[in-house]
Amino acid sequence: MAKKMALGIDVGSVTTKLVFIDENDEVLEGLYIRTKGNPIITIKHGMVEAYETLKKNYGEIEIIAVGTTGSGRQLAGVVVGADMVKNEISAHAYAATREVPDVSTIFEIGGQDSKIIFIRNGAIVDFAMNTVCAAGTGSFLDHQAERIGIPIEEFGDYSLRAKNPVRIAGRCTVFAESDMIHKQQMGATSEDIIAGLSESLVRNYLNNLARGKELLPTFVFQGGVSENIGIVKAFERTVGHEVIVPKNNKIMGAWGVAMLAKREIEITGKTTNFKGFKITEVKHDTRVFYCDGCANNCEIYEVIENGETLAYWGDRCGRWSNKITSKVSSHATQAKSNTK
Amino acid sequence: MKIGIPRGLYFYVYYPMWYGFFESLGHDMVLSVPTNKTILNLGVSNAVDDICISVKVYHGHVKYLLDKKDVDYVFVPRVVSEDKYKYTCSKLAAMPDLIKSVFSKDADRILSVNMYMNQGRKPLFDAFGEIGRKLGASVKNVKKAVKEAVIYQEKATNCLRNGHNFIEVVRNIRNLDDLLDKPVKERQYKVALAGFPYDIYDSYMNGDVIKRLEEADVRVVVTDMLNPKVYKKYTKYMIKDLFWHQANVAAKGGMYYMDSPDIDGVITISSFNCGIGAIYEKLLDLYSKETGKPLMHIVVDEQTGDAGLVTRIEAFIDLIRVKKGDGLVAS
Amino acid sequence: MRRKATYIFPRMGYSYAAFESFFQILGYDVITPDPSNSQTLKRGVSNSPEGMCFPFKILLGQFMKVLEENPDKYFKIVSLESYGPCRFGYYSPLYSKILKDRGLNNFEIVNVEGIYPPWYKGIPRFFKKLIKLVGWHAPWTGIRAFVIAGWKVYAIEELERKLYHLIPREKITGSTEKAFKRAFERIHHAPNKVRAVKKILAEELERMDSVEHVEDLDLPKIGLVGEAYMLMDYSNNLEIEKKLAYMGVDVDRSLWVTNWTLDRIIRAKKHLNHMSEVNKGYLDFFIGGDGQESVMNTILYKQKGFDGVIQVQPFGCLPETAAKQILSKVSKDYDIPVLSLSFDEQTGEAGFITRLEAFVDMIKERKLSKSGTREKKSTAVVSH
Repeated sequence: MAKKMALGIDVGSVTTKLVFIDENDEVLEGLYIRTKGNPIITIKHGMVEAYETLKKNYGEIEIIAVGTTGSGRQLAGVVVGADMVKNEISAHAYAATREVPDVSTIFEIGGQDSKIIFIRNGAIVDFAMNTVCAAGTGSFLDHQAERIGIPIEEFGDYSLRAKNPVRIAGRCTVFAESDMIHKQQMGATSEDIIAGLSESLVRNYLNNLARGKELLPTFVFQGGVSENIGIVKAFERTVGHEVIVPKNNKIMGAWGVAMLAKREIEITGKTTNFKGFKITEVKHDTRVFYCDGCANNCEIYEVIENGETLAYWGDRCGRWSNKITSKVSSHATQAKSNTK
Repeated sequence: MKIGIPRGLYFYVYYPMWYGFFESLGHDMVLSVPTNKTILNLGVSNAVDDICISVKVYHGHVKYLLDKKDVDYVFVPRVVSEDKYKYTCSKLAAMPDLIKSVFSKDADRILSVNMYMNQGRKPLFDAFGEIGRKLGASVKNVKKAVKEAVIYQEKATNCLRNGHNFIEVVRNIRNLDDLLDKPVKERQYKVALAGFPYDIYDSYMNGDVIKRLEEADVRVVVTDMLNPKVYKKYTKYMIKDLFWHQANVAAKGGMYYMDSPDIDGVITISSFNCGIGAIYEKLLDLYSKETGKPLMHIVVDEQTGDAGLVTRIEAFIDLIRVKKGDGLVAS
Repeated sequence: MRRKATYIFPRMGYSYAAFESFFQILGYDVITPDPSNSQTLKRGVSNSPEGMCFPFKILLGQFMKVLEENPDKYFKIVSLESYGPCRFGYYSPLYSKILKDRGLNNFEIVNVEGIYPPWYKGIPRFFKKLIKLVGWHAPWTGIRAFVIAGWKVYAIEELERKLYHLIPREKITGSTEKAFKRAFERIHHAPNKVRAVKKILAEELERMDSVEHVEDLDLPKIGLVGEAYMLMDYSNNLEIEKKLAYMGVDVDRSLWVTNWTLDRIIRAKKHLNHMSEVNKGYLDFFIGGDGQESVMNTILYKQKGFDGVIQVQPFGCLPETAAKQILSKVSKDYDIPVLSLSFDEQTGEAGFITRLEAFVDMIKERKLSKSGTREKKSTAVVSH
């Protein structure tokens, strides 16, 4: 009998995450790939790669549910045929509460997004996302790593060796950079600078997102940046408490949405929309154009599969998006089926 | 009793009055320290993100005083208007509410009252009367104290009119008469600063612009030194008066200085995210196009790096030198 | 030389249809600027002071586009403004200065200012400006224009309310919107007679009601508070109401043209008293704009049993920023989630939708856990 699995895809701004889970929600295979340009190609590559390994380990595979999340969730959803398209805040929170049931505060720092999620009794009670600036995100570190010529992977070790972390001022990446260069010119060591950068990132993150909010343990820290032990330590120093990095820290969003999709299928008893692994061989194109229907001049996005349009979005009036008969039932029918 | 006075916002305008009042009633005043890194951090971590940096700094000063256990009250007045039909901005009008919303545990240690300035004695008696009652002073003493307060403020105004800046006024608050007679040192160049007093005089936040200019042999004048009568005529250029008193002072004062032949250049100082700054800066921009007077904007924000600021001030002075036909000097 | 002028009236949501009628009744040509799009925003942002509020930039861009595209016409830009803590009060002098600085001279600004002290100057000024706006007409023409425009505004708002009520309840996605569009166009082009507007409104409301839907659904309720222009103009708030409605939420907006006008002008005193009573201890002073309304309406929404509140504000808005800080305390004290969204030209749709969705998920979850029916049946998110 084929092994039953659910798939979760998290298409972020910098990386794409794929997770396959079994019927007990355990992760069978997790991939963490840099999104190089085209997210569709990245997803396909990931799926081919995962398929090979899974097939080797488990033989026949049956995908029973698919969920997508992240900033590219809509695109990924139409391409693979998702049962659930969920925002990343809910997905991350779901996974974190599964892993650490008594979590109260989730720090999540990814490539260009950072979030803080407050949980009480297993439910989200508040959240915040970074608004305009990247000073509290992974790209801040990437940028500075490039600037001082030390690979980002070694940042953690460097900052642990620091004796006197320097204070890097500036809440904006550009200003922080000039201040960092200034400190370098004054003769600070790389260790102290990197430790200073870690502290600065945590300070910026908390100032941006957690202002005036109550930070209660248990703390969970996830997302790509949680790999960096220096940042973890900086968080622990700032909140004065242990900060847990869960075992699937880099792929929590994808894992969360895989579980959500599986649950959705179990509850509704529907069969999955998944189009099968064959989609990796199908040609997909995307196109952006300006609608000239009215003065709004909406930017329209079009996804084309084998010359056939899969989806439009971006229009305000529905001129384009209504062309594709919606497969998703409206809210009334959904809400109704839920209340039954 | 010990009254804490935050060194921010209207401290830089009405401190002499407050000093006179509390002094006359025999209360000790505790000033918060001049803005420093700690104060700034306290402010930034407590005030809401999008608010202007001056208000954030003020939160820091208030918090600093609230943390001092021996301070009985922290004086957070709501300055409503500063002239007839000239008011203050939304954030300042909501100041006690903003402060109480963040430091709600200490709400009863906030001494707050609505102040209507420069509209005769009656509003002052009302406002200070209310404070006096809270502090348990007799009506007679309050009346005496208000009179004292007004005298202090008048003296301070005279000092400003004579060309002394407000920092000197604060430093010499006990002997303002001496300050009044003290001559002002003239220098080679003269530059006017236009903006809100709390941005111009907070030397930590603006990278000590006054001192830096004076080091370059520049005499600094500020828009608050002007008698409002001299710039009344600029309302016509502005089409209508601005609602905010200090913005009118900055805009019209700046225009007056641009038209004054002895002023070599004008620098505006505003705080990051100050909404009103955007308006008077634009007006001065347009006016400087007409007069050709050098104009520079300095926006104060949370950055500590004043390397950039020094460069800009030096470049501005070089510009003035070239305009006057003087040679450049290596700094 | 006197040239024939075309009026430009700022666009705000769907209400533009009513204001067009107003000028048409008076016998003037009128142009409604395009809703915000990349071209108007580019113009507005690059010509405004950076720290100026977003609505100023939006409107400047819209006016500029019209002026640039019609160099041979002469325009009267209508600006309704006041004198208050909000920067709105100084829009028109800046428009006039900036547009002239850009070399555009084919306009004049008709600013109708509210009455503000000193009274002996304020009242005559108001009437002078009003006459400048309306022109010399028989008084009854002017009154008729006001009455009909008022009715059209009311009719459009009734239709909008119906739209947001039906969207989460409809059976076929998009069917209500289709009905609304038709209804709106009919009101827009309705003959300028009160009876005709009334009749069309009644017909169209009935027609919208006949859209197939499920009436008795207990949906989560979200109230919208914030700055009036951003709340009312769908082209700038990224259609937040419609998006929420499609997410299965009963959405209610606190400010409409009708209640805004009534509260500010006709029953101002009652409104202010009510506000100071509700806001006591949170915001005890007049701060202009819609800041006090935001605080008041959040409290009122809680009392009316709403599950959450979203504050919509333009980036850097003076009164709303003050309100935002106070709202965080209100939210804590009254136990109602408040999400503050600030909009500017850089607001990305993706992040915006993520925030909305997460907020809605959170509200749904809270609602379920309160009603004690938090079973496996929910589609809400976290439930361990």
